[in-house]
Amino acid sequence: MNTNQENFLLELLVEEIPARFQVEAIANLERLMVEKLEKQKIKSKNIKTYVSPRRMVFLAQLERQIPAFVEEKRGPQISAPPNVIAKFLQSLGMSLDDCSEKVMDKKTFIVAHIRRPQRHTQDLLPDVVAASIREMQWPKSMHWGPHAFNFVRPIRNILCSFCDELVHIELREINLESKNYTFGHRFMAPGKIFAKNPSEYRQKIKEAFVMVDPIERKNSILAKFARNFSKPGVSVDVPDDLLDEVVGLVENPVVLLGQIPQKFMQLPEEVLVTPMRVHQRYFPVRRDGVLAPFFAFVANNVAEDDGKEIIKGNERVLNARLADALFFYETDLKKPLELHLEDLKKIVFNEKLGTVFDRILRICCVCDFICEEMDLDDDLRELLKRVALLSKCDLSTHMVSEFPELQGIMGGIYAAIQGEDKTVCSVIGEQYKTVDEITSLPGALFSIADKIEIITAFFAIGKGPTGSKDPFALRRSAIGLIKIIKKYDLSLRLRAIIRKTFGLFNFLECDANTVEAATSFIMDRLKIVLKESGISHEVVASVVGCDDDVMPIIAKAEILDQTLKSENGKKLIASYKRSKNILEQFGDFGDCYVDRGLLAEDSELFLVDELEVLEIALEKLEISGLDSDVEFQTKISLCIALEEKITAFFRDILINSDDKKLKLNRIGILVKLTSIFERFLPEIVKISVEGY
Amino acid sequence: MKGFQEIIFLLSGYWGAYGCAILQPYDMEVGAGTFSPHTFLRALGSGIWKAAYVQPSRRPADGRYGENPNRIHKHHQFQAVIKPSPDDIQDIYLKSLEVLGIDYKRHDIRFVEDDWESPTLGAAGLGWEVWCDGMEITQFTYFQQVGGFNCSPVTVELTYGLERLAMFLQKVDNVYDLNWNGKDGSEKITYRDVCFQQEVEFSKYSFEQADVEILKRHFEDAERECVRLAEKQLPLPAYDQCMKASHLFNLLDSRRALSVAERVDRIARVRALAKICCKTQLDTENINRRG
Repeated sequence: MNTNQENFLLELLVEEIPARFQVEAIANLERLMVEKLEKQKIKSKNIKTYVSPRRMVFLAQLERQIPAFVEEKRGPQISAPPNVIAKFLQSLGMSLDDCSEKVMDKKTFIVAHIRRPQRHTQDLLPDVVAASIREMQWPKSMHWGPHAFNFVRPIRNILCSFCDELVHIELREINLESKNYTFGHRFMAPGKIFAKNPSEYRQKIKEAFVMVDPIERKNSILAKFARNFSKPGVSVDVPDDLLDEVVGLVENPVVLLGQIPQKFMQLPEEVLVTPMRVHQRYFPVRRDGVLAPFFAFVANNVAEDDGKEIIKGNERVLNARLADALFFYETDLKKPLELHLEDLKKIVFNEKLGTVFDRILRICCVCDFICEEMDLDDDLRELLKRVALLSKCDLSTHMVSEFPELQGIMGGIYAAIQGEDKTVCSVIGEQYKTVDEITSLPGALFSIADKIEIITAFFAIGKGPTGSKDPFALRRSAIGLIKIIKKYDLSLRLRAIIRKTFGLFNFLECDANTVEAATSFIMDRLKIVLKESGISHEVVASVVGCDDDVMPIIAKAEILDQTLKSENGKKLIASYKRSKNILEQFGDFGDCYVDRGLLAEDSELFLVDELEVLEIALEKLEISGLDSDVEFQTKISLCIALEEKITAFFRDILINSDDKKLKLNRIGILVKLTSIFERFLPEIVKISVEGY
Repeated sequence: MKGFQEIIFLLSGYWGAYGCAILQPYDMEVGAGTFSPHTFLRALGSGIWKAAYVQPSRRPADGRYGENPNRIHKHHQFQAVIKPSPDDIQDIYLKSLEVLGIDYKRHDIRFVEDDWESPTLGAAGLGWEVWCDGMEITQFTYFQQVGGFNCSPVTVELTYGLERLAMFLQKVDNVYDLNWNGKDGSEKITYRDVCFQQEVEFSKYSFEQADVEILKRHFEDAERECVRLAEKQLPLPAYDQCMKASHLFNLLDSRRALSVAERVDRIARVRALAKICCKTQLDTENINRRG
């Protein structure tokens, strides 16, 4: 180790920092410390940072001294007025003799050479640390006591030491001075812990029952899970987000196991799991994949009685919640889902848009529109209508009133129990899930109907999103809508369906503008989806709007994107551009056409022949009835095939011929070439105009 | 066995010894101890303040006709408020749990993020719910805003849910089984003896019988009166009317008499009243206070 490197230790002790902020917070502190050390030219190495609910720790080795050095400071140009130069020198207390000249960008500047003396890190650290603490950013912060200082939660202690000596830091605004000690685990070792350097800190804080390293806490929890649930077939559900949260809730993780009374095990899995995970941060246990009557949880305390009381307390809390859930479940089961429609007639969805029941009726109609449009069979149509009718019935069940996160899921479960068709149940259960979680075509179709209804409804009453305001999350709905269409490769003329949906609001006057607004709102989301999948802005701009149907647009975008990435495609665009540029040079040349008799050279003759063949081929293609993406791809391939002839033409032919007739004839060839693009591949034209 | 009342005695004794003025419950219907002017209006302005009190809190929609072991329409909060919040407030709070007999060597106490926001009061604070063995026993909040006004200095508010705390300490699973007076046998008075009838009757009242038209009329009256009194520079009487409006809103809500939009509208109206009261309180900070 470099003898000039010395140990640095900083620990901020804070009242419990919310778990969700911890990781970002310590990264923020590290960034600020590093930035400020660098600014002071203090060399650092072996930086280590840790975060726990109560602590942010920064450990490093820092150079003891910053050697003397000469700083070059650029002043005004040598040609600047004398008073400007004098001012510069005066501000540094230097004379022109201490300066040199330096040429940069063909200008000559005065450069001052400032001698910076050797400095001691010890003297600089108080400002470095205090400024880092002051500048920390939080998603949510607070004031406390009489102080005008913002932090995530009150700071209670600063432990800071360098070269085994206390670094004296004063945060006057909260009346706090740094100390050479901190405090251990809140309950297991609440006394003062003195530490002079990182290694002493690590050892003593560990002895004080604190694992400062979140990775160590995480691994410790996972290891304890593995030990507790080592029997074959036994496993524990450990979702990453829950584990990370729990890691941020404890300094000394203790894994304990609670029991669930058998009478609750008849509840559906989701009903058991939701209060466990969401409300209590418990980890469900499984045996052979099925929920077992146990739950694992992580306490912060090693208790004298091995956690018996802690377990009992936690069991009591979960039992109370599950007792509620069981009561709701049994009560809900007494009432068939359809009977909830009566309740939904009383729940106002929106003053102008009526009740939830009114909405269900509209979704039924939109399902119908989609089936007509896609020419789907009657069975599917009936199935979707059944789904639509029952879909929102769980909103007025006791269970969903108590656990809103179970909406949809409960509908699916209750529908299954009353013997509905399996697909009907699964579609009801999936309705609020993301695109990836939708598993069937009926699910996709219902989701589309649901989303079209809600987007159209709010546009109908003039409540489409504006600026950053999107209170009904219509943007998310529209993006979901497009992703589903894409995933299931569905052909739907959106404008037509939206127009029909608007017709359902017979109490409102919807003009063509409103239909257009809703359609282009969805098409704008299509642009976002395309860009997310890596398609360039130019391609997106050139294809969206050319069709009412989403899939052909996506297909076109993908073909065009591929074309533009290929060598041939690039050449094709370049040829069109070149022709267009040349034509622009000649300005207004009046009408011109190609006279075959004037074709003197092979290269122009060949090109004209090919252009004629191409034009006929393209015309035939347009009436061939091929799928639009195949048609588009073929058009591009045909044009690309012409490339060689175009290249030869540009290579061999002098357009600006002295012979005026030849010149006009050759311009005529270019006009023909560009007009073919403009007529058959407007997308390419659009891209080349917008400067690809 | 620590009776329900003994928990109140212990907390009152502890916070009284700490220096809080031990107050009596505010004599009006409120939804939470925070609504009491002893907390809400005191959180404004520059003065210092230390107080603790029990506040019976009415939440009409939580009534369950005495049938649910955990849900009740009127529960009891023990509230301690201190302004400015002391540096060692977490330790001071934890000592109060020790006084109740909670042994940290056998239990798991946790401070879990829970930011508090009251749309009807235009109030917000940051803090935690305190968990004891997975059960929330206290709301711990540093007030940041009240009635839309920033709090400086900051008031810390500790709200103990007395029923939950008692159920935890007495190890009972049904609130009605709580021992109220700490006696045994024939001398024992339970929570059921004290509160059951009111739970049944007030559930009937708030879900079935409360007259919606009368409630609406009273709401309008309270609203008008609140504004008028605030104009007369009388923040406390004005705020009484604001609390009334808030409770009337809760009753209308439990009667399911409000559409979504009406609900939003009335919440905004109560918030506007709270704001007027806070403004009046701040405007009159230097008068009316000490006589």
